[in-house]
Amino acid sequence: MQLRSLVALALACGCGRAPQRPARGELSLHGGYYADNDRVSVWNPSLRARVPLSRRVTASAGYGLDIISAASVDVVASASRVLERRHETSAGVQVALDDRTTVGATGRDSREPDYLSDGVSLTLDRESESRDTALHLELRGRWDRVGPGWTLPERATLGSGVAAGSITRVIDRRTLLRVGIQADVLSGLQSSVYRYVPVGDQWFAERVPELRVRGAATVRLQHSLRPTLAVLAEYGLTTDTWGLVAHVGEVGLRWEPAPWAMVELRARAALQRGADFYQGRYASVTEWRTRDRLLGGMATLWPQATLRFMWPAWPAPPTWELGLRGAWIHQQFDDYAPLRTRDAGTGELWITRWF
Amino acid sequence: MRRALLLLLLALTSLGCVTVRPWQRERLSRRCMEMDGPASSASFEAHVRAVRSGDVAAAGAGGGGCGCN
Repeated sequence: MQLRSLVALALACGCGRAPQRPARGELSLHGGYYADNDRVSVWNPSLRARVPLSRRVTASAGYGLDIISAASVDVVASASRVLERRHETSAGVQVALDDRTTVGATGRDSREPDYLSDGVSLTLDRESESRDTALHLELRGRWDRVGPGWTLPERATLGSGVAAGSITRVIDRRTLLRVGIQADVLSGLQSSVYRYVPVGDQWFAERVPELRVRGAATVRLQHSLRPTLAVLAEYGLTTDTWGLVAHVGEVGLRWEPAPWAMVELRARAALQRGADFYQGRYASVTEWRTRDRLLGGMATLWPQATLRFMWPAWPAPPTWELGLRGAWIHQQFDDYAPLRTRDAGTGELWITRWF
Repeated sequence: MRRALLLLLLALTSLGCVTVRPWQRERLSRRCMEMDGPASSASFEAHVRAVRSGDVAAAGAGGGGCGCN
């Protein structure tokens, strides 16, 4: 209904000028792999397509598959290996209301045996007349059905809503700044249906509050040192009603060794204070109890390297891109006895064709 | 948090007086100055981050019920 209303609004809106250039079609194949020292590995092949239907309207669709192999110590001390598949499909439409304003709506469906999720997002992108400021607004809603699982005999639900916005500004001839804020609300079952928490000699099902409200702000700066060399820096702060506070910093460098190639080196570091109810070891049964180490204090270091080849060479818009990325994620948990550190590696390969 | 947001807004508005003409933006149009990376790769990275970071966990993952976080 919302999708239809948006399309009708866009078609009825004859006052805006059509974009000077028609949108380009795009087809992208991506393969990702994740593996860590906690015996979790994930294969993720995905396909995306964007097709211009007219000068104003573009349709998009995507499909991705997660093949998850897991036997994490987080679930149970000597878990047997679990193999699971998650299918994700999405479809959307973007409408250019004029040459500076685009609205979009996207629907998304994610399915795995014990977790179903449906979501919709609405976006608005608008540039200023002088094109030195770009505004992005986004509303997202999601409805999940969780379980059944070991600690949950019947299916439960989780709903979430997110409002996000960002402003990107041209600061000077060499510098871009982006400031973003986000607020989200999650309501429903947020405990893992597979996780038990040890209290003394006994194990109890994990229980966390059903309501979580979160706020986040980010600021990102990109600066061109030379025509073919740029640096970036980003800082983000997140806090929520469970008492979790996270500071995330990122620095990066992009270099174009040739007009058809780009090298990117980035490193992200995050420091997190855990949720109020998180305890490494519970001495007595409490209303809220968790063994989710993501809710405890932790530090993360995430360096990555990317290589991209694009044809034709700059300044022409690319019609082909081949990309490779490798990353390492090191996490240190303040108070989680079964696994104090986690090391993970990811690898990606993608190819994109514009037409 | 509120103070940080105010500082960000102040920084943004105080930088609004500089005008860079379109013909002065050659550096900004280089590929190395793209604000966002490739969409397909950004989606994979966001998903990994969503299931491996406490600050964004469950906000955008939309799945991952394997309990392996």
